Amino acid sequence: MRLCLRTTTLASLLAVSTSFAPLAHAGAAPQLNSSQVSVLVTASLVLSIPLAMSMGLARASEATGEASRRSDGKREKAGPLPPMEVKAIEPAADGGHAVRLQVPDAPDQHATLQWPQGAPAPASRFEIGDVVYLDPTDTGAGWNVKDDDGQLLAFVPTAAAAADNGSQAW
Amino acid sequence: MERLIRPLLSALPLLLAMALPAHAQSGICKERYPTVAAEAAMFDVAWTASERLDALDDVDVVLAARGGQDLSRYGLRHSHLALLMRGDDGHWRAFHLLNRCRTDSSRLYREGLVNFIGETGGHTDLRIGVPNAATRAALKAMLTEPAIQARVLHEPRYNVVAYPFATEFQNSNQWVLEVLAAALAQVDGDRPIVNRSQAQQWLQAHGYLPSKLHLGLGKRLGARLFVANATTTDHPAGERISGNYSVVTVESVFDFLRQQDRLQRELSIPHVPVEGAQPPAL
Repeated sequence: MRLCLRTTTLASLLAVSTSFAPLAHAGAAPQLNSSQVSVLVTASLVLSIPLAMSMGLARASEATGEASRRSDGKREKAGPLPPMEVKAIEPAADGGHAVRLQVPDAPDQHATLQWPQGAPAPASRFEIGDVVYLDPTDTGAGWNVKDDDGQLLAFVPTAAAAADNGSQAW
Repeated sequence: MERLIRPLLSALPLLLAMALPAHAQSGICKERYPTVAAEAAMFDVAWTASERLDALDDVDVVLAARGGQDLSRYGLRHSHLALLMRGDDGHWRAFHLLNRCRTDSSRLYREGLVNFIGETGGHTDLRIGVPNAATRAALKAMLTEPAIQARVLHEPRYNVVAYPFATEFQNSNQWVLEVLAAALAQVDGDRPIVNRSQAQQWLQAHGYLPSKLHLGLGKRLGARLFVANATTTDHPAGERISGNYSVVTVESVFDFLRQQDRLQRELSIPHVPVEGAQPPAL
């Protein structure tokens, strides 16, 4: 565990929310017999170690569906996060998009919102310099990312919730 | 002679149209992305459903019904049934039949709760039926790989208003019902059900009653002419004349389970209202 934590520390990032691949699932939003097929492309959230530690999220470092279950078998819920400033909006190496966030005046407390390839450019809803708020949803399934005016910019599921997203022919 | 021909000529467009194959909308399928609010609702409802199901002792298989099609004119709230089973990883997954893009065929899918609930999480509560322990055990065995029996009971030729006692077509709820019939037959020690005819005979023998939906002439003709996933040709002549069609609905399956005393309890998982969200019209 120590080795794992050190490795993660070296990477200086902590994955809080992951989704099992692939992230985009056709038919995710079933409109029975519809002539439209809905495609769900979920975001993931990666926190820096200092930010995660300050939020008490260290145990989420192995953010798979299983690891996000607590010892009592219940699933880890989304917790409060501080407001963060949009520092950069950039394409990701995998063809997706990334939005870099940072807690104002705390350079080591940063986070990245990531969307895989195929997402309809959600990063375009963000503007550099804006402050965004990550509010846990009522159930704790994830965070609603809002701007200063309360406008919904994105939704990010927790690792456990993201594991409920998947579709395959059977 | 002209008196005879003129009515025929005037009816010609209709006669020609009736002779055309009903594939006008086959395969037309546009991609769309749920809104952020709809996406959050999908995950929230799935989360609540998981928590409620996890809290049930010794329950790892249930029935689940969601919205999908607006059947309110028939007094029905839910339109689509699936079987949910908890996997070894602790996550619930839906096993169900989907007809995508209004084609004339279907496939079986194994999906996460988020996908199963989809955008209906923004407008319709989820209805969960917990079968009794013996039924759950039989269903679990049927859904566990290689799941031959459950797959054999799938007919890919899809018809949204398939007649419940014919094997030419199948719709989503019918597959769940027929799998249930096979499971219940097993629980009762009856002869194993290995094909759809046997499942339907078993259901008739045990008093399953489908719902009756009235489809007006315009809708029937429209179905025949313009959509590939609906036809009434498999229904008895009496139903086609009256327009009152027998269909496997969520309500009729739950009624049957109650009548058979196989339903241990029901749960309702509330939806998370999303502005503007509503089920599409039938």
